[in-house]
Amino acid sequence: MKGLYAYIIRRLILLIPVVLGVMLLTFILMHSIPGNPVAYLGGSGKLPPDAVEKLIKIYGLDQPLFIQFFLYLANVFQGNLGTSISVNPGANITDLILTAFPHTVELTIYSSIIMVLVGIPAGVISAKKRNSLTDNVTRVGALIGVSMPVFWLGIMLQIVFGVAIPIFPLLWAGIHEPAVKATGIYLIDGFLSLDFRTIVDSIMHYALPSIALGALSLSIVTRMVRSSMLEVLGEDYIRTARAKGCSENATIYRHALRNSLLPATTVIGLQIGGLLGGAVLTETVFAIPGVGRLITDAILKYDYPLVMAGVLFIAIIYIIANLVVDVLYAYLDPRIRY
Amino acid sequence: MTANVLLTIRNLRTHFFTEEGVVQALDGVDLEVYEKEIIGLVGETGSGKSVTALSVMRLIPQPGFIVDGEIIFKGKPLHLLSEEEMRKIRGKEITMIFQDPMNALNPVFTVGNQIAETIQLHNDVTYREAFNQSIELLRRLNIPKPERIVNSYPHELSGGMRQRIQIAIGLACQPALLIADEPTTALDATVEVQVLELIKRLRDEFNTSIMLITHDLGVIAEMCDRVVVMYAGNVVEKADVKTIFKHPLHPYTQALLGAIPYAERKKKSRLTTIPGTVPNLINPPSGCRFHPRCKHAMIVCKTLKPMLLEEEQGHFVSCFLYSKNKEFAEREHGVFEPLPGRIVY
Amino acid sequence: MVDDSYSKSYEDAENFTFTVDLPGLKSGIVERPRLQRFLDFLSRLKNPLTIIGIIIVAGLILSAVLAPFIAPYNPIAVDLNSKNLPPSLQHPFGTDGFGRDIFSRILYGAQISLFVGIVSVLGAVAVGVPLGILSAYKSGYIDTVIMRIMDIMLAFPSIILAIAIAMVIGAGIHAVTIAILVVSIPVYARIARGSALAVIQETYIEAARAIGASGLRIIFRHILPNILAPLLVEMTLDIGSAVLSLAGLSFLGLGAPPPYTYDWGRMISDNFSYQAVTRYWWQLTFPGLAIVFCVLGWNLLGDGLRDAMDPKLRLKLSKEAKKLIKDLKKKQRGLEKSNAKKPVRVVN
Repeated sequence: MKGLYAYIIRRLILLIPVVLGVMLLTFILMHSIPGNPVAYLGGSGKLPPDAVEKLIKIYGLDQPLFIQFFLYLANVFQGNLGTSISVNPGANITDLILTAFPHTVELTIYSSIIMVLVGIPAGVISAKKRNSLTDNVTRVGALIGVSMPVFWLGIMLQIVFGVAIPIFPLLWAGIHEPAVKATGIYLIDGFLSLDFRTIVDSIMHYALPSIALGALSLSIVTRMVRSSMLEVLGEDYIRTARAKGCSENATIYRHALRNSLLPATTVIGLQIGGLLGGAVLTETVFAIPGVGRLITDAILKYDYPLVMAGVLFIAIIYIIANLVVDVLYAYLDPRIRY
Repeated sequence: MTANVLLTIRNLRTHFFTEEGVVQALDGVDLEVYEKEIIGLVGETGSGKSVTALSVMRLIPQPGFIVDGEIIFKGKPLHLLSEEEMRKIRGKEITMIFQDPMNALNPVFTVGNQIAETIQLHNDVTYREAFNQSIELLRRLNIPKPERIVNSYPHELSGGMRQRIQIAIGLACQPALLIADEPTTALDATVEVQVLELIKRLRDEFNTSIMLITHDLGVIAEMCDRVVVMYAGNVVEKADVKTIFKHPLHPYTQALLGAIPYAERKKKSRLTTIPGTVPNLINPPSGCRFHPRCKHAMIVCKTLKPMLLEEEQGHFVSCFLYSKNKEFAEREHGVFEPLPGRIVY
Repeated sequence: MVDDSYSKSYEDAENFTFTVDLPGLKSGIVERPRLQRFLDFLSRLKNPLTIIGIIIVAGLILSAVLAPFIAPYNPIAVDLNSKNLPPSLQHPFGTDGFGRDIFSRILYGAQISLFVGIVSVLGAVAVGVPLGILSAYKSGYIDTVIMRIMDIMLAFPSIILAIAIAMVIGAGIHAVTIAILVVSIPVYARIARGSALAVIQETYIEAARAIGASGLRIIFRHILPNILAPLLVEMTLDIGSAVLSLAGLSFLGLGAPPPYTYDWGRMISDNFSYQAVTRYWWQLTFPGLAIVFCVLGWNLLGDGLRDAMDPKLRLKLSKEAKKLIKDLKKKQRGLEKSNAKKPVRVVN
């Protein structure tokens, strides 16, 4: 266990250059945009020219680029991502993102559950019954799953299960507000305040978006689990297990599953990051006021600081998710010495 | 030999149905294993030693099937048992250990866990009891510090130790037959000796018959009571170990023995090699499968397949050079010296 | 004593050796002449899914090239008299809110998908592969710097990075193409580096160095041919994901500007409204189906190529063998049944 902590700390230290690099990249991208936000406001005639100059001084936009980068870093580390220009003029971007974040988290949680609870069994069964009808249907289904645009699947689900067979609500809005609002995540708050209606509402309202968002990752996980399962089933220790007298199920679920889930863990981790990216599209389709929707709005309204802050935020979450997965992998696989 | 027969294999044919064609890996194998004996299966790669073992275990990989023949173990026809009945025999009555100790153990479980699993599969005991039994078992096998070993993962152990663990797994339920498929090929020479010593001791302590598969004639000479020589899916010669080494009959066995460097070999006799390669088993040679490489090949060898017949007491050989097969060919087919040209059967 | 005519035929037979070595026949080696191997490769592409993939990709290319000749309507001509028409014989996929024929627009849309997909992938290969090979060949700090930059790029979910880049360059087909291109560079750099590293360790590269071959020569003669196969598979699969990325970016409004409004993703985005979802389903369904088919086609082709190149998957059963096995299983099941009824036969 001591080794594990050391490993986590070492990994965290290794993350520092990557995070700095990510910040540098967003910074460069932001500064490659023609003009600057203050000029943008000035150009729109909302500010007199002398005020523009003053603002440029305040924001340090007249300083050399590398000093600006350090100012930017200092700001980011203080949790100050700047102010929104056009989506919600003057609002603190950090506040905007933190308000929107719980909805994205809730959507991602549901999608991850679908991805793991459907993807892993589907992959295992497909590998177990290789070349059977079940296997072929699963494979073609997974292939179609990786070929579908997330937002289009969302729209199709709306048409079929929101309009044609109205089982689920078309849009996100209308979840019963729970009494306790500790996390901002309806499902958890619903449990905390023992509000049954909120829980059901949360499930119903997130059903279509999370299926739409989860389908792609689900398909990727299914394919991954299937192929790694097939690979593991050819290993010598599987033959040993059979030679011991293990039944087919014991061989697969005890001996092969854990080994084949090791590579799948990495993919699942990457997919949780991918879900965050897909949320940008899904939230737009279902009008969920999450981080993704915030970024989309910012794109449409050319709110550069907000876009870059959102990009940075999601990238850092993604990095953390990958770190968690790597640690989990090291924990699951006794062969990895940390 | 007065001992009882434990396992009888009669006319076993195992074929692999690949896209390239049907690989006739076993083409009528006949052999028997007596109680408490160490029998050696020897032959080149592709001669069908491992396939024979896997056929007994009924663990032939996918495109392979037993198409003909009988495997009788303690009176039970293994080739006819259902998967469930077979499962109860594997690990309990017949076990198999494999060549590569690196991959033969599951990397994510401790070795104690893997030994205990076998005990639990075939005995009605709790996991704790099974785990304690595995420590006992390791102690019986003279493995140092068994309490520490059981809590190790396979990657933390040396190759020799992993092979001993495999043997422990194999012996966990005191099987009647242990099949060891090249158990020492991947090990260092010194470790090899220790593992072989261990296997030899087992026969006396656990009363287990051992089928030892190897291509190393030195190991055979050291370990076995009887030897079965295989070539291209056939048993070509079968006898006790002394007879095979002192008085080999089949040209293949003779060539094989000529191919091992002996320290005490007479200075003048040269180390010989066998010309050609192991035949392609999709289109195997007609008649005797060894005839394209055999320096005594006769026309009859291309047309007729010799049978495995007892030439001397307990010494079986499948070759037309010897009287029984000669007589057989003459009696059954009336053709021992046929005219040149192909005889179609 | 040995008849010569016989030994000759065995020589022929030994031209390809088949060694069976368990487990799993993994090392079954079949040696064949090069032409035969190529024919084998083609015959392995003959599985039904791969053929569907080839047909879809061919159809895509045809519709992109022939759109001006086969499209029944002008893809951008507004006809307010026929807006929001459901699918019919005149308009197989219906019309949109401006009365434009969706079928014609989809045919034209293939041009944009194909352009963005192929150009972005070729561009990413052109940048990524040299970077990867350089990284492997030079090693040291050049390797470290290049691979760190790639790591940082991989630290973004690709769609998010593409959004940021497209935003900086400004909306438009070229911007989107470049954004997708940049995002997929790390993938190729990694593949090229990995394969090149493996090849560099081979003895023949050292031999080439020893006889004084120049670095460039080694790269072109020895390294490039060796990484071609995994590269080709990845490229095919990546064209599919480029089309998906394009659709996503277009949906967010970062895609093709007018007059290229017949881009599939943009068609969905433009038509997406409460009314369309509740009443004009065809405006949203068909462009999306076009995307699905296009991506599916490239994916099927890519999977087929990979399977055909992967020697591990070669041991597929022939039809004949399948039938034989089926019969054998039946026989065995019959034997098991009769065995269950009969008392166990005792030998000895």
